[in-house]
Amino acid sequence: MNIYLVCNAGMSTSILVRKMQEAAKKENLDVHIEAFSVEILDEKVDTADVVLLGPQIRHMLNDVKKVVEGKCPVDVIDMRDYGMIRGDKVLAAALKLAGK
Amino acid sequence: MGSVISSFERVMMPVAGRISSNKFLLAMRDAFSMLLPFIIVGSFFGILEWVVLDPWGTIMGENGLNLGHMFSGGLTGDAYKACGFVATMQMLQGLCNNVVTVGFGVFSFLLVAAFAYRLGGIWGGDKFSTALTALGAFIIITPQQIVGKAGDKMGAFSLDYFGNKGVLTALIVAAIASWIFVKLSKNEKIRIKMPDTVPPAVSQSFAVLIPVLATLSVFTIFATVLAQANLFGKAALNDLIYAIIQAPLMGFSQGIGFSLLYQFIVWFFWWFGIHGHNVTAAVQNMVYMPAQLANQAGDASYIFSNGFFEAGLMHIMGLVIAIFLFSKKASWRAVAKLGAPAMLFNIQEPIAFGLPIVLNPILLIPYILAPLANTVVGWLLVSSGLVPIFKYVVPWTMPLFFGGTIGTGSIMGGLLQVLWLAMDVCIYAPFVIASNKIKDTEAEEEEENTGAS
Repeated sequence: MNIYLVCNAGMSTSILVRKMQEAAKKENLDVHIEAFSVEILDEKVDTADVVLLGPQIRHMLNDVKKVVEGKCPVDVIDMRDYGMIRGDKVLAAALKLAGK
Repeated sequence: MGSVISSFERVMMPVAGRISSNKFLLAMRDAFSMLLPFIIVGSFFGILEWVVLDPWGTIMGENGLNLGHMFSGGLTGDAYKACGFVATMQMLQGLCNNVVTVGFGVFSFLLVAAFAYRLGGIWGGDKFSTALTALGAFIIITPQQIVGKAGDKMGAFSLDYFGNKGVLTALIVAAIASWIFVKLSKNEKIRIKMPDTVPPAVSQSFAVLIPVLATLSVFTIFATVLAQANLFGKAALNDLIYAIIQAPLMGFSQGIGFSLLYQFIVWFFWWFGIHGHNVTAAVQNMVYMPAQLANQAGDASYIFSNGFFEAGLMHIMGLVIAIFLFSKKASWRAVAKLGAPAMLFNIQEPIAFGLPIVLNPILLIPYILAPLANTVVGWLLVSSGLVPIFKYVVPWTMPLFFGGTIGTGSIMGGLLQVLWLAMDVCIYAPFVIASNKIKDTEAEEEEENTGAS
């Protein structure tokens, strides 16, 4: 399954991605996690299973929801988890959203 | 305090949302980010051309490292000027300049294509045809003759119309041309239909024939009327827009007052955890980006440019250092340690959301005061000539000192960032010390445990 993280440039979320991948490896989960800029979401959205927004662009949640068109769950990453780069917690939240 | 903040947030979130979701601004931001690689590559060759290869520049010249003296076999003065080494360097400089032209010289031309491409996508037209049509419109309103020194007219374009002076013209022309083109090409009544046996590529080109004709005709008529009217003594749209809109806008945005207001808004939004640069991208793209392009092209010396503000992103590093020096809070020290590597590359989010700075009443003052103080000091030092203007585009993730040094082409730019850092440490320090006395809330106790594990 594909978990996509979006922020303004995909820079700060990419740090979180690495931690999430580590957490996924520990639990032997087969997930693909990727971070990119919100601008290219429309090109990627068809393969997404979960889309998570960096909290700094939470004001764009409605736009992202429009792009996703209900094809998969969308949510904003918890601010503290994001700041503390808690890969395991964000991964758990993503899996819960996806219903797996 | 808490209710004040939450009522503020209730106002700011929709504002930020509305600005960011404005289709028009979104397309503009996307267009600029499509062009960023070209600007950075152009800048890289600009640095090669003017810093590395220039026979009288920082590396080769006698006022710099003076390597040219060595490479040319010890020649100086006129003998150096005439030697083969200098000729080779100048030839290479010329080649580099060709690349600089791509990123800077014809920036507005590329912008027309990128912006129209994005607008075509938003309005539901064929993206590539929209981009091509808008380029056609831009060429139509651009003077296609230049007057030589002897007063003779030649068929040629002046690069002036394609570079930083044309940014606003490019945006306006691309928007109008795309709008007309997409509206018409979606109109079934004027579409030329081909039998099904005709290949799709051919029938597509016929389908857009009338919209292209109409769009380009509108611009031709407009350009003719404008040339006859000769408003303010300007016959071309580019000159007119530059004179009545872009030049005053640039002048206004270079005022210290406006620059401080811009910084204030950016960091105030960030304090709410909203991406301030994302919200204010329109201001950045319309004034501070062209300012940067003009600086690089050598057309002007604007103090406040993208490069200037991006060099100032490092102020949170002052907070990180202040925490290492003065904080007695284990949770803060843990976050600072966690966030420091990212902050080295000017990525502030782990600190901003982890500490958090966001919605933290103690840190509100220094978080806004530090960038404002930096702006004032930077403004004073650059306008006094002590630090050169920010000229070359560097990725915003370039670590401090290196970013300033490369951006200005001088070590003084790097030292300015070091000075800023020292100021920022002093600005943040009292607030870090004050927060030592504030008892940790439960949430932070939990932080301490996870931070230590």
